[in-house]
Amino acid sequence: MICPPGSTFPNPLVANRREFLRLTSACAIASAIAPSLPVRALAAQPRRKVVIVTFGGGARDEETFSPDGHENISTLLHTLLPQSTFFAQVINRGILGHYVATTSLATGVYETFNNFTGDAPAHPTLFECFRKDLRRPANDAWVISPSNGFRNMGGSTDRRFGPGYGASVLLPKQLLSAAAPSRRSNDLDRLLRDTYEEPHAGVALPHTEANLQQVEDVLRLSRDEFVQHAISLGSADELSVYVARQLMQQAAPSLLWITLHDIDMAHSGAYSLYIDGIQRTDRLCGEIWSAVQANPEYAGCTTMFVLPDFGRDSDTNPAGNGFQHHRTGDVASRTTWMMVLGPGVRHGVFVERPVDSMDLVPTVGRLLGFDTPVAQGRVLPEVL
Amino acid sequence: MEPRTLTAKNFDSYAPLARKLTCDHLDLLRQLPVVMSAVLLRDAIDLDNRFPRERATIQSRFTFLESLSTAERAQLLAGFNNLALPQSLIDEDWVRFPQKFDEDLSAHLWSSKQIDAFHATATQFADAMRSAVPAAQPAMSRWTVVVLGPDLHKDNYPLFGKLRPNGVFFGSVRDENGMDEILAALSARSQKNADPYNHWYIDGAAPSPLQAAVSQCSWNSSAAMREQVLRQVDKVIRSGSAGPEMLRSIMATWQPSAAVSASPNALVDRFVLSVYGEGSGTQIFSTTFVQWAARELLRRAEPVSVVARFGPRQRQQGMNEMFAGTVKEMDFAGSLVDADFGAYYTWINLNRLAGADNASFIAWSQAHNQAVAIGPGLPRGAVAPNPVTVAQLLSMAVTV
Repeated sequence: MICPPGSTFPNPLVANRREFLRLTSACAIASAIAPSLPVRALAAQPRRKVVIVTFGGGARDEETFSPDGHENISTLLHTLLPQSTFFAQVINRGILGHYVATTSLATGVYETFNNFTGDAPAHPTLFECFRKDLRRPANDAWVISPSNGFRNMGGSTDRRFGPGYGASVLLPKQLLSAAAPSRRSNDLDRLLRDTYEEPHAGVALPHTEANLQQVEDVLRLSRDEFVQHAISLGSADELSVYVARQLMQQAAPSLLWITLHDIDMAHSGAYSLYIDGIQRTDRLCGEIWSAVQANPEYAGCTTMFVLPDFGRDSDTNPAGNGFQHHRTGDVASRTTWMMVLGPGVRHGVFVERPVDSMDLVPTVGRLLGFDTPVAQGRVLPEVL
Repeated sequence: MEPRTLTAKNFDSYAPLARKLTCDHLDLLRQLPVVMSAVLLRDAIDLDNRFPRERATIQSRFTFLESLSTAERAQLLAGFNNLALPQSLIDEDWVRFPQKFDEDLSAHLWSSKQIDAFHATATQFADAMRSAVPAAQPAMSRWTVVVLGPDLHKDNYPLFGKLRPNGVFFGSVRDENGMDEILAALSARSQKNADPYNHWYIDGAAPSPLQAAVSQCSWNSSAAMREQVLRQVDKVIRSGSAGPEMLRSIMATWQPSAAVSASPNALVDRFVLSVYGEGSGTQIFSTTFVQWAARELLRRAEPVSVVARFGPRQRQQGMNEMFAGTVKEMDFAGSLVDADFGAYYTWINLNRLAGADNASFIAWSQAHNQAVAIGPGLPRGAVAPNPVTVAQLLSMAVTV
């Protein structure tokens, strides 16, 4: 399908989503109701925080918000959706590789670097804009990333901004690898690999003292405490959420980005594992929101964005193999959704119009009160 | 390399059939946009390892393009000509390494936002070719049976949910040597059409004995090849020099030792190697092996008869289990879900072939005693009221 810039994709699933939402919640079309709280007033509060969770890597409508997928996202549907404004068509017009797409979400510009090189983006990230414009310290913006390949998404190569203003990046699997080197095995190496797109083991991650210092200095955990808890967890994303909770308790950053990635197990071609990943991610989104509500530093002043980086190929596109990959660039692989929760965000609102993945950065900028001069997207008025 | 500079010597490294094909059509290759030439060579270079149907398809692309006038060809391929390509890409040795060119082209098209324009032209070319050269009808009605093996079981799982709207669901199927019945039907079909690449049996575990002129491959009988592929993949990845795209390219040209042959038939052996070398997850999970093998053989060999049986795959361990060193087990429930979706994908792939309107398709779970049958004369979205045997199921769906 040809998708010229600025065009919109027809999305037959929108009708299904809207009908579902109307039946199960007190939702209304966004334009029909007024905000429940004056958000601009909240933006002026010094404690205002934003948590962004990418529901990754790569989940399709069929397994999430279309009727057949509802059973996989019970937390999103029954707990988070009633409290949220929901964008039904979020279109990603960029490169459908997880690192480059996730980094593009963070810059608000469709980045064009090679997905597998782990390059820093050319355009300033929202973390840099946030820290520079609001003069925030380094520990006020954090990124929790699923693998070493995402290590450079905290800061750009833009000389006006750059690493000096970037977010600190935590790589939970790398922390664990460094903290428990004697427990490594071939299977664990596979888990700690950078990408699910490789059919077997990935390159081993380096063990560095810096990783161990992060455990002790940032997370305020002894190495043994960290390892004991980490090895009781079932997946890399569970580890990421554990690290996120610890970070929220110890550093309480105002801008926190959590990239979840278990779903990308779909590249193995095992549909049941793809579904397991979605169900786990759904549960973890609920746990993150619960952690926000339970933490006095976050409760009542935090807006949470949940969105996939992109979808996956449709079942019927002959260029792909359905859910397994995201190579075709078809409608299913480019069309996702976004859920926004928090103070001032209207509950149960369904936004039908198509929006762009790049709209995230300017919207967060407006919420927190910083400029995003390079971002290509537009502010989403429905959550302001 | 510009296409206009091509000579027969450029194809010296090609295997005999590939060299003859490309040299026979050298004038055409010289006149095409570099993207089109490279796309043609990507398949042509491997002609000697391809099935007869595939060879005919690859050859027909050259013939079709030659049948067009210069103006018609220019119009059809204008989209390829209009792509902005860096000189470094054009300068690549895309004759000897068309896969590498394909990866680099793909990366460039995505990053330069020309991927949709490329797809549009590719689709236009495929549509024009389909109109001019209709796909050959099968020698006999197509027939595909997917079996979810006896170990695959999950309580209260609604089987065949994607397939049921397209055919008849059978809630009670008595086994009574059902697998033997299915293989006997496959054998009977193979006797009516002698082309061995027209009839296939894939098994995700140990294959049942089958004495017939049928192409076969299985998870168990290709274990040695799989191990060698895994070692090679591991070696490439640990070198740190190849991402997933390049890995596929490397594996496409890699040759294992003769000792790990998966089939006495050279083309089948090469096919199994491609399933392991170029598929993702095929080396780890037997369910993925069966699904991808069925997809690829339907796409490439375009067989008229396929029996694909899913077996159990190993369980994906949680991180905590890996740390604890828990013994690996099989995941029978997960395998059933994988196979259920694999059956659906096999039906989709069957429907892409010429003659699909008259094709018969059966998916049967040995453990759940349930099946779905789709084909001409069978109603859609129906539920059979009475128990049936596998033999009865076959007789309802078979259109030999």
